[in-house]
Amino acid sequence: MEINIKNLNELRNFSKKFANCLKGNEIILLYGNLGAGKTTFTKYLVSSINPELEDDVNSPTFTVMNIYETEKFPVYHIDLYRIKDFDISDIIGTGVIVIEWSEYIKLENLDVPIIKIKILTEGEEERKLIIEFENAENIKKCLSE
Amino acid sequence: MKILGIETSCDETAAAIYDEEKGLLSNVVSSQIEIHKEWGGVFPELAAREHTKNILPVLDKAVKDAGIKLSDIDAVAFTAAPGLIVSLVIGVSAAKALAFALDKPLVPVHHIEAHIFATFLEKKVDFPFLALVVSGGHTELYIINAFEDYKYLGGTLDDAVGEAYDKVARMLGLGYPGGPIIDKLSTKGVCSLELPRPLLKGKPEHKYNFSFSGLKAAVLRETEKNKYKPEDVAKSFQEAVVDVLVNKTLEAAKEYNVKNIVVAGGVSANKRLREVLTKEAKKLGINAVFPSLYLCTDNAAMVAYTGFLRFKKGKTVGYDFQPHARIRMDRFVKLLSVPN
Repeated sequence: MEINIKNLNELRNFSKKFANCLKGNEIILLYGNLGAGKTTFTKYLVSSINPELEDDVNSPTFTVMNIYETEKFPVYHIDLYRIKDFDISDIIGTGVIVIEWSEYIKLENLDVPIIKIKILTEGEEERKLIIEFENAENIKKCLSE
Repeated sequence: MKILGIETSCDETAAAIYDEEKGLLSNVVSSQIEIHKEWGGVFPELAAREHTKNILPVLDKAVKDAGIKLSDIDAVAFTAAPGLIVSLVIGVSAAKALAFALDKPLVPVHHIEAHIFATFLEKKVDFPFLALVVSGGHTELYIINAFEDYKYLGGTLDDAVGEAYDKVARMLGLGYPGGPIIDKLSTKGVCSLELPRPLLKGKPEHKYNFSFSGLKAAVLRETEKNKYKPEDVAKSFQEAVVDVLVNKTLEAAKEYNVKNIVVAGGVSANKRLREVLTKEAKKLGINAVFPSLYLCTDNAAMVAYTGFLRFKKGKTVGYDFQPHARIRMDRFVKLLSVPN
């Protein structure tokens, strides 16, 4: 699935639609260069559920993992930019796991839904999202509606 | 009165003892910076393991250096938030165990609060003052009306300033930590890249917020053109950062009519920030205070001293007090209550 984003507002709208499709056990793998918008996507995803959490969402590069308790499910926001490897086995299935710099993680034989989002920088605010789904046909369907 | 301070929120294992009459009796810091270098930053599990290994020898040395007995301590202060949770819990457990064994009260301290009040170990600053907190994990502005009376003005919406330094250093292949490397390299460069000053002008709700992600992305776009020298990239980036920090800080100082600014956290060691903020503040009749370098980086002297201020107000907590990985300083002090 490919989504073209023209500006931040469109990214916000897409993140909201995306959040609405989630059940609370998904793993979302984000790919994209520095400044592509991985943290911004996560920020909008969380704030579309609880607007007051918007300012709480920022880069976990330093802390490696931030946890946001939304009213629907916890969101685990992980950043592998520095550390390349992080054991998520304890939290799989207990909330939505968003991983920045997913190039580094290996996930095998999992039965939870996995959504891979590649963010390509097309211009100052223009982005192309290339989305792949594993065990997540219902989310693909929900996003296509 | 003697207070023991314990700090393990990130990659330094530290203990210190502050005496009400004599000042700092000891200040021991065991740094893990060499261990984490290959990761370009702190690796949480590794940090926790090192803290576990270091905490007892560090505590032991702090007591010996102070020339006192453990039982001479009146209270145990510890960094309870914010930080890497796996690191925080080591110091918190050590503090609780000691407090229990010695039957002494426990005093929790916020890491950022401690960085700000560390300044008082060297000189008194009149309230109210403005605090600019800049480090690898934080970029925040507070009005400090008094001890425990904090007003949050704004903070970063994405990357902390120290993190932006680390990432730009990495783009340029310069190593870790990025702050001192870029600071030094930039003295040889010229400002040849046009870079944005994020949130310097714009929406009023972001007047005191910061954003360094866009700046970082702009640096990346420019460096990918391969036409700039690393020292010029470093210089242009540093000028953009300092420009934003200084302008927002002075704007806040003017709006809230404060005469003193305290700069705290690791990035307060940045030479260019020190130079420009001191000069520009002076023009407005404002005094910019930077702590000595040993207080800019993580240490327990600041924890012992801030713990002393809190203990004087009679605020202690029970053994069930939990550390918090992320909590703002103004919200943290609201968690504390006077004992019954």
